[in-house]
Amino acid sequence: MYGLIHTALQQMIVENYGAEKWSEVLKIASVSDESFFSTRSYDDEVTFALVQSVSEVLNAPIDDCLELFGQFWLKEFAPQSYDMLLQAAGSSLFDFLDNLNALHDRISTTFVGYVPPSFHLQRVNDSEATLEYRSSRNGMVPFVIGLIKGMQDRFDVQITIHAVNVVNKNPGVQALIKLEVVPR
Amino acid sequence: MKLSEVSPALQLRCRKAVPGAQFDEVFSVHRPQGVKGFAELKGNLDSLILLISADQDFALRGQIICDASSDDYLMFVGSPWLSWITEHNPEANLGLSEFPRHDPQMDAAFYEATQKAMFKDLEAVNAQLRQAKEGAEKARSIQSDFFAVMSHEMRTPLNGIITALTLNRDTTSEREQQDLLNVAYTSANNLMTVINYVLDFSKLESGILEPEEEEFDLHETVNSIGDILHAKARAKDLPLNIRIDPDVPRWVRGDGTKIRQILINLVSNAVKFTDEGFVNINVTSAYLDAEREQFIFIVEDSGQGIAREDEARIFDAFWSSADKSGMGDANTGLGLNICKRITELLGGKLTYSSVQGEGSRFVLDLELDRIGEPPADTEETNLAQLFRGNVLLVDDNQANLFVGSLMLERMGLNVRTASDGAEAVSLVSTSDFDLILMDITMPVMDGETASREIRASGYDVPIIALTAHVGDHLLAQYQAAGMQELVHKPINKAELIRCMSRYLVARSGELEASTELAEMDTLVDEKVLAALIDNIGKANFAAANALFEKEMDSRVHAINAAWVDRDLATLAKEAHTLKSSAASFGAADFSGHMANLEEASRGNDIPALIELMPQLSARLKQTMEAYERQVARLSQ
Repeated sequence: MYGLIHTALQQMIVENYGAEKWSEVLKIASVSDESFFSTRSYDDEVTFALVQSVSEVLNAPIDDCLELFGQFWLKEFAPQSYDMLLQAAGSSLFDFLDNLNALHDRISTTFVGYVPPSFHLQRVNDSEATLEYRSSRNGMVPFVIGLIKGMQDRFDVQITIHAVNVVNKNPGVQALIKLEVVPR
Repeated sequence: MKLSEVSPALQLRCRKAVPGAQFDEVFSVHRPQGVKGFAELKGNLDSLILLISADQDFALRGQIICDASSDDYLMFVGSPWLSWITEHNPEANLGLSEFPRHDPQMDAAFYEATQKAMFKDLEAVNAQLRQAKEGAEKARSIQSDFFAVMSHEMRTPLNGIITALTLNRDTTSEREQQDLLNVAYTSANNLMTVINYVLDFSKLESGILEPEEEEFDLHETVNSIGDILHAKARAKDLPLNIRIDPDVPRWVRGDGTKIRQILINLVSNAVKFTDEGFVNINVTSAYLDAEREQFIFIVEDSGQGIAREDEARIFDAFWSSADKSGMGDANTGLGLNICKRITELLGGKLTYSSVQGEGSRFVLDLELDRIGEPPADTEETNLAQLFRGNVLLVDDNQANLFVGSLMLERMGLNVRTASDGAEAVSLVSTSDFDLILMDITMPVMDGETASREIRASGYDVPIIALTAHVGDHLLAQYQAAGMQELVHKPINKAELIRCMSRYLVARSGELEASTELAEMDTLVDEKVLAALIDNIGKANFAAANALFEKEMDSRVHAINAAWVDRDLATLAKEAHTLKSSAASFGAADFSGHMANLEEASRGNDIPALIELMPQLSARLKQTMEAYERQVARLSQ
């Protein structure tokens, strides 16, 4: 994974739990780097070790930590550098979800070798839809859930996730996320 | 040139861009420069075309395509000019769908944003490296200074110890030996001071020093500093005045040990750098809440002060005054640095003000918990801070002088000593005393003669005779010489206190009743010895003990030598002196034997002496064995 992810994770822990907690995370994960470079590619094992370590340090299940991270990514981290792109992706939740693939296309030309997930939104009506998520990586569905929940403030809506059906493809995963959106 | 067809997406952005509108009323050509009409546009099929809307709200980036089937139409194909719009109309909120998939502008925007993020990462790493480098350099510099200063400061007193002890081996002069041992003692203390500084500094550097919580007597803590440093102040004829405001709570909770350490350091510095005038310690407090009190400790002196160019540095590690003419004390430059850091560890503040040549004023500001009653397991001290004043203690017996000084200082008195009457007379003429405690039998000038000379010189300072002599006539005899009172040796503490209370200002409203000395009915009276240790403290007792043991040996040797020479006058004198020393240290039986020897010598009773002298060595041996057993037991 690219260092951008690690930098975001570091920022989340430091801002919410303090620098000492992050030092603890690095120590448990046996990661010697104290800083990460956004455009540098790191082994996925480093990322998983950090996430596992965060789970231990926060004493929370990994899935909960990933969902928390997803929310942080969308609400706090991504807007710092990429707000223009996020705005360009859509002014409503469903438009945004529709443009997720296009957004990831733009990312791929910078992060060469990055294989982004794919998203397909199937609208049922103005307030209900099913988002299909496909990825070559396993274990990131909670992160996507977090991203979706993180959009509530952005679009000033209340999102209810009614069901998440996950099918492991080994490698990779396919998930169907049924959601309902209500304006606040 | 008119617009023939306009895409819906463009019409949404440029309202004027409608079919039939004049081109140059809707757009201006930004690039290529100077291109205006149809023909010129047609001539730039290979150029990048940049168009800006007439209302300056929008811009396009694209290319002109010529329809081969018609000479009258040109097609402009493009997308929003992202960088221009971002700069001139950031509220435009362009959508991803407004850019064809193949248009790289959004990719470039993402790339640029990611590059900026990367620069931030590099700056963060740079800052971390710079901080780490500065920290490492500072640590190395501190370490280097530390070793340089400490190795010098440790070698100096160690050299003093070795030199003094080496010379001591080669001299037979008792006086020279005493002087050299004093030098070794002072150097050893200095070395201990340096080692303590090293340990404290190391603990502070490694972050392992933690504040402790204990319940302690704040008044006693402050007054004990006077006990420790009065001798140094006295040696410079410097008054060391301690004043604790009556409203300052006595019992508090905090780190008493560290507070004492800070104050000792500050007062020690004040004494060190003051040649004349005063050193004052003032303590006040202010109520904060039901549990907390703010305490202000002020150490003020009339000494050298601090040079202006040094003012900003006095709390730096390894800074020391350029004047190193102290009393041979360690000069590590760490004292104030450690004080400051310990103060901060305790949550307090240490500040100062100074005028060079006039003096300095250090202020220690701390908050502590107030506790109403003393802790249940507090060991009561035998000696409270009873008196204030300056006392001259006169005795030719060094052990008595040492023990007596310590006891009087713990009573709150400033004590000076003299070893004979002549020295006492000389001191009285140069210093103010509130009371003189005068031994009677002394070489050079005895106590009665000294008292007469003091009175003849016009000094009316009260004089209390301390004597092992007995007799109803003695008080009248001593009063005729100018003395006021008589206290018998071995000294009964309660009696001495009662006597002194008639001439000295009491510190507190009540004087504590002292413990009556137990009857001396064993070889070594444990109660007397225990009381002595209590009176002067265990640390001081070690030094007193060494003096006592040495004196026992040397005076018994002198007694034996005097007996061999049949020098009964010397025998009586030595026995008399040893009688009181032995009694002071609880060696009751031996003291009695000395009394018998003295009486027999003075009475020229040879048969009694023939009987008593052979017992001397055995009694000494038994007494010292019993004494050492008691000391060991009481030290546990």
